[in-house]
Parts: sequence; C-alpha cells; structure tokens
Amino acid sequence: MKTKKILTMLLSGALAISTLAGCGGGSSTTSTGGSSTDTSAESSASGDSSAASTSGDTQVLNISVQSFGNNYDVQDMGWRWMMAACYSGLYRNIADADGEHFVLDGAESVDISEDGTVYTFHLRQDAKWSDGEPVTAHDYEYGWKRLLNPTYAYDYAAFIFNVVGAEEYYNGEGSVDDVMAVALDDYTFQVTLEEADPTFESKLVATPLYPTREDIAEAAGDQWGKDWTLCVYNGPFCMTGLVEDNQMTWTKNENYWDAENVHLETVNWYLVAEDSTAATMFDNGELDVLETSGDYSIKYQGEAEAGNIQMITTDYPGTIALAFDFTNGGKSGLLSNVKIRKALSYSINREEMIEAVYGRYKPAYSWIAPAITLDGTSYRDQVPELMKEEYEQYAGNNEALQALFQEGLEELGMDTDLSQVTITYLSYGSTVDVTAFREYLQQTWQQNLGINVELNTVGDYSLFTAERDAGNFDVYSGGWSSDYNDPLDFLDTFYTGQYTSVSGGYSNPEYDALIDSLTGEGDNAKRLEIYRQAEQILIDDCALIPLYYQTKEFFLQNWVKDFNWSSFGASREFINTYIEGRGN
Amino acid sequence: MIKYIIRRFVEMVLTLFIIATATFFLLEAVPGDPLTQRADHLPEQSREALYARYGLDKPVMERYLTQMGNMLQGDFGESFVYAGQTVSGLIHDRLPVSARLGIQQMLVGVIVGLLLGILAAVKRGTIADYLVVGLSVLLISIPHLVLGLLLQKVFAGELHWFPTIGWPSGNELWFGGWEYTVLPTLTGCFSYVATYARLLKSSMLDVVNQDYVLTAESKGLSRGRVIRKHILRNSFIPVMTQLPMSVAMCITGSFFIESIFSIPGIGQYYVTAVNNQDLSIVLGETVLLALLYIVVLFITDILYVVVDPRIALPGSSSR
Repeated sequence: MKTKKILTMLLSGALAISTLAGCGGGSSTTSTGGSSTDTSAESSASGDSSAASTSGDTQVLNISVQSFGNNYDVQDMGWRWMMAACYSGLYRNIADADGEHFVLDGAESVDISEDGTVYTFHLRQDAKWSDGEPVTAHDYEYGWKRLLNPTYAYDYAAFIFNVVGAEEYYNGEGSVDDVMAVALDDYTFQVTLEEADPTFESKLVATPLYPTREDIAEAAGDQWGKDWTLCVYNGPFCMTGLVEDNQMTWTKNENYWDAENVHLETVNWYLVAEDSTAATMFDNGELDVLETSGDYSIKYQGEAEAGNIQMITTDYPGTIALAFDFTNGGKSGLLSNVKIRKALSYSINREEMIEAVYGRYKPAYSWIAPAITLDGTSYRDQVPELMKEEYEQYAGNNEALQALFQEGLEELGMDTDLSQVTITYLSYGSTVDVTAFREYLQQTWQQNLGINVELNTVGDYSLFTAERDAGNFDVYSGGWSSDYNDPLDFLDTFYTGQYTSVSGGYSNPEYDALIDSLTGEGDNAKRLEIYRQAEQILIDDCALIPLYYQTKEFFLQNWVKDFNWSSFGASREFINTYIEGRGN
Repeated sequence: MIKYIIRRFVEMVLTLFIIATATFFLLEAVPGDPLTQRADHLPEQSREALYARYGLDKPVMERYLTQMGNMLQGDFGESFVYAGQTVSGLIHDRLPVSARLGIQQMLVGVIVGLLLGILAAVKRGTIADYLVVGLSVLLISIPHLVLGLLLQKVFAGELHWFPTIGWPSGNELWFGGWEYTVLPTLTGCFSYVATYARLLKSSMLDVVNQDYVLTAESKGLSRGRVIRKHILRNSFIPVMTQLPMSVAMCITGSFFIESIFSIPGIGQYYVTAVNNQDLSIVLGETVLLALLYIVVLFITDILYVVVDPRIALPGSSSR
C-alpha cells in the first residue's frame, strides 16, 4: 500500500512539473534566454490548441555543435565559425549556388598595383560596429599590427609575413612603424607586400585579418578575447547570450552594412555532446540542422531520400593520409625505400575502405583536396588524380604488390621473406571510426602483402606525439586541412622542415626549388603547372599514402532555406538563410 | 576536542599540499602538454612564441614553485585551453549548477531509498522485499549514460513531457526552471535510491534482532511504535555516516549526466580539463575537491560521536 502511495506521489509530482513546463517557459524569457523561447515553441508544436499562430514564420534557427570555441579574439581565430558570422573583414568567403568564392565585404573596391605588391582597399563608409561607431581603416591597421605583435604570439601571424616589415617586427628585429599595413585615411587601407602573392586575396577572408577596435581592445586589457561581454561586432550577427557548455544566442546585427539581406532574427546554438541526443532533438523539431555520423547518418540519408528532410553534402578542404618516417625509415627501417612505400599504398582498396569504415567521404588518389579551387574551378578538375594510373596497375593484384615489396627489400640489400617483415602503425583514440580503420588497415596489409602489422595504439594526441617523436612507428595517420583556398597551402606542408608532423620529415631539394619558384609568380597558368609538377613529385616519391578526401554532411528540416556549408568562411553559412513553412 | 581539531587541521593542510604536488608532477609526467596539439600544426617560429606566451618554456621546478606560490595566495592561474577561464570563475559559475543537480538527486534518491529500505525490512521475505532488492541491483547496474539517453528518448523524444537538454540559469539558477531538471535528477537519483534502500534495510535487520527490541515488544508496545521509536532510530547510524559522503559526492558533479543533458556543471569541465592537460584547472579543481572530502570526513568523524556516544575521538580524554 505504501508503494502505491509513493508511486502516486511521484506521478502527480511529475505531472505538476510537466504542466509547469508549458507556461513557465514563456514567462521567464529574460532569465533563460533562448532555451525558454524554445520550450514554448516546442510545447505549442506538440499539439496544444492554444498555440498562437503568427502570420509568416519566425526567423529563428536552432542548431547544435559538439563544442563551443574558446576565445573571442578575432586575431586568434580560436572560433572561426562564430567570428566569421559575427565579424566582417575586407572580403567574405561565401558558399551559395555558385559554389565557394569570396566577395567584397568591408571593402568597397580594391586597387592592386601593376607589380602586384601594393593593395589599396577602399572601405565602405556605411559599415558600422554594433555600438554605432564606423568601421575605419584604423581598425584594420590596429588588427593587423596586433596580429604581428610578438607579445601576443598569435598562431596566424605567419599569414602576413609577406607584408613589408612584418616578419622583422614579429621577430623583434623591426619596429611596428615599419610594418606596411597602414591607414592612409579613415576609409583607405593600404598593404605593401615584399613579393607579389596571388594567394594573398584568398587569405583576406580569414578572421585574423579582420579589424579590431583599438579603444575597446586596449580598454579590455588582458581580458580582451576572454570576456565576450566586452566585444563589439561588425558582422551580420551579434552574440547576445552565452551559457558555457550549454547554449548560445546570436541576434541579427542591425548595424551590419548589408543587414537587409540577413533574414534570421535569432540563431540558437545548443551544445549537444551525444549524437543520440541531437537526433532526438532533430526528430522533435527542436533542431533545424543536424550534423551526425555513423548509423544516424545512414538513417537520415534514407529520410532525405524519402523527402522528409533535406540533405546537403559538400567537399571539405581536408585530405586524410598516412605519413611515413623519412628521417630513419621508420622503426623497421624499410620505409626509406620508395617501392615498399608504394606497395603499402597501392595495396589499400580505398573505395572498399571508406565504404567499410566510414560510409561516407571520397577516395583519394592524390594530395590536394577537390574543395581547393584555382581561378574559381576545383584544382582537381584541372589536374587529374596523379596516383590513379599507377595504382590501377597494381590494384587487387597481390602477387604484383608482393613482388614490388620484395624488390624494395632487395634494393635495401635485404633477403628477408615477407612473412618476417613487421610494419608498425601508430594511432590514437578509441572512437568507432578510428578503431575500425586501424583494424581494416592491419587486415588489408597482412592479407594483401603477407607482412605482419603491429598496432601501436595510444590514448590521446599527447601520447601520440610522444610515440611519434620517439620513432616508435613506421606509418601513422595524418593529413591536412587547408587554412586558405589555394593549392599552395597543401603543398607547403611537404616543404623541407615546414610541417614535419604532416610530412614525416620529407625532404626533396627538387621539390623545394619548385615551391621556391612560385614566389612572386603571378600568372595562374604557370602556377598551375608548377603545382602539378610539385604534386607529381610527391606521388612519384610516394611521400604519403592519400586515403580519402573529407566531406561535410548536413541534414536540414524542410523549412530551412538557403543554408550552405563554406570551407573558408563561417562553416555553417546562414547569413542569407530564411525559414519558410515551419508551421505552428 | 580542540586539540583534536587542531591536529586534524594540520593534517588537512599537509594532505592538500601532498595532493597538489602529486597532481602537478603526475600531469608533468604525462607526455605532452596543453599546447601540444595546437603547436603541432604551427611553424617552428610561432611554436616557440606560443610556449613563451603561456610560460611553458620555463623549467619544471620553476613552474612548480611559481604555481605553489600563487596557490597559497588563492590564485590557481588561468586555463591554458579556454581563454580567461579561472578556477574561481568555475566555482562561481559551474559549482552551483552541479550542486543543485546533485542536491536534487540526493534529496529524491535518499528519501525514496530510505522509504523503500524501511518497506523491505518491515515486509521482509515478501514480494515487496524482493522487488526492492531486485530493483536496487538493477538500478545500480545501469550506467548513467544508458539510463540518461533512455529517459531522454522516451520522456523528451516520444512523450514531449520535458525539454531534451538545457539547464536553468540567471534568476532560476537555484530555484525555478524545474522542467529542465527532472530528467537529469531522475537519471542520477537511482544510485542513491539503491544505496540507501539496501543500507537501511540491512541495518534495520541488524537492529530487529537486538535484545532491546525484544524487550520493547514484550512490554506490549504496538508494532508501529517499536519500529519508530526503537528500530528506526538505532538503524540510522550507518545512514548518518554515509550521508556526508553523499553530500560531498553530489556537489562534484557527474560527467555523463552533465554531458548528455548539456548541463554547464563542474563535472563535465573537470573531465575535459584532464583530457586537455589543462594544468591550472585540474590542479585547482583537484585541490578543491580534496578539501571538500577532507572536511566531510572530519564532519563524519564528529557525527559518529554525536550519533553514538560510545565512540570516542582519538586524542580526547573523555572516557
């Protein structure tokens, strides 16, 4: 009898609380911000007849992420997807029906000198900060010089080392006054480069090159970038609410120069750690946009085909590849031989692998990802995948692959049987994808090449770097995601000593000379040819094992219109997004 | 008594010092540092500047001394990963969130648990008893992650009774926004239910067999009166000593529950900080939690004496 009483008590309690949920939400809008507005929207959606229908749709977008960024300083770019939507630079990278490209944003026009070294930006005079102050050339000058200030040690300072006086100032050898990024007047900003650089404009979309208000940043002192309430915005949205690890609200910035083309009034960001939770919210209509993986991805692909939701898939400028140890030839010492490297590479059936392990992405037979464009066209449409031809000669032919490996051993003066060879694969983490991949790789190499594969698996990235730097591997998984839209960013990683974590310490004077020859080369046709040659060297040397090109996949409710993904802009591109037909 | 308190206080300071030192050097001993991943994709030149910016270019002992010196002044330093995040900020912003969640779980869990415990003891050997015992075993063996996602899917997803995620903030930090707290509270309360139901049941069964219960019954007291006056009171000793520990545990937060329901509490942040090797935050939180436990253990010792006068404190002369 007692149990009965307790149960009734519990139940009535639960009911009382659930009724509170309906009315309590709306009345407390001020204290809980977006979350309570969402509750009221949700409860009306669940069938209450009292729902007040308004004419047209409320322009609110609900979207989730797995983690928020960690600082608010545009120069630090700690949080690109927030900064690219709440701030505005000279150019803006956008993605729309025409694909990914950049357009003038804070600049109205730009003059480039004959020799390609002097850029004069004429700023639009109607651009304002969220506090009503105009955006001036001085804000840009301050932002750029701040980026180079050695005391701040910004990660992206090297982005503008080509500006006259920049590297000297960063290294403490020159004065800030000699940095040739200056405001000629309130609305003219001029930058002088050491050498002409055709990739320069594509870097201008990056937030470290955005303007910063000197008065506000200096007043904030060492709190700048740490306390969001001190920020002023000049982009399409303003951050208006944040509860760490929970949710964030953006509101349309009426002071943005192009505010009339921004349709969303509010964007609610929810931090959702579990795929399952995000799926529940998406099914409920609590989320308008869903990014997911694994089995959920397959489920929603089906729903998209049935027309219940929309799906967008776009290329992402990232290539996942396996890297070697070029300094010592790896733990086995065998990886110094190109034939052995090729045998390892060609024995992997990429189509089968991505299907079995990931269920998405694109197989890669070259280094530079298709998302990278040159002259507005995908680089990969201009240069075919360079490894494919040779790969196809060997693909699926285990005898030929083993013979190739054996030849390599002979070239190294070794007479070992393949069954005596052990290759060590270093990786970290225990997510489903990572585990499935390393098991796939182990099986593939053991079956196709008849060698032994040892897995050196560690817990996290720090342990991984420790093992890597100690040389306890032959092969490890790496890759590159590009910071700006030019093939050069991918190719730079294999320049001697540049990014050893990506290149495995690869060094080839011929390759370096090719990259050097690009300096000051302004003709894109010539650049394309040099890029092709350089990439060909990487493939001929088998400097890496390209595995797959990354893609991005989003599921959208049918009422979300004009939502895109941009690789170099705000990522989730909803500056022009609107809501139509959400219903009530 | 005063002598005892002074001795415990000195021990406490010493323990905290050892814990802080051990935490510092354990984190140092792990390969890598908070900047490893970030620096790995930077050109050499920028890498050095980055380490200098965070003071991580200095030798270990020098950093240890600085850190300890600052901690004495109550300054644990700033997060290496989240700009501007400090330990005192965490206590201010996140501790109340975890504390409310924990307190709600505990209140519901302990009350329900005790009631079920009494039920099981009184109705020993009946269906009710087996149900309570079986339920306790079941509830304590379901991981929070599974239970949380299940409750979320059913009560938020299918039935739309409660919001899927979120937590009250602002004016409603401590009171209000109840609909957000129901599912997280339910998820976490069952382990308290199970613990306290079993604890009280076994304790009551011990007491039932005591001579004074027999005496009370033979005096002709009603069954209800015997249970209330003689059995219950005496079987509360283990409960009283378990309670302070539960209070300490409930404030420290729960990683899984906070993560599933996007609750901005301290438990989730602690795990993230450890993963990121975010030294100052890990150190600060560890010392704080250690402090909390030490104080609670101290209170527990005192409580023993209060509840059961037969127990004497070491060092006290009253005997």
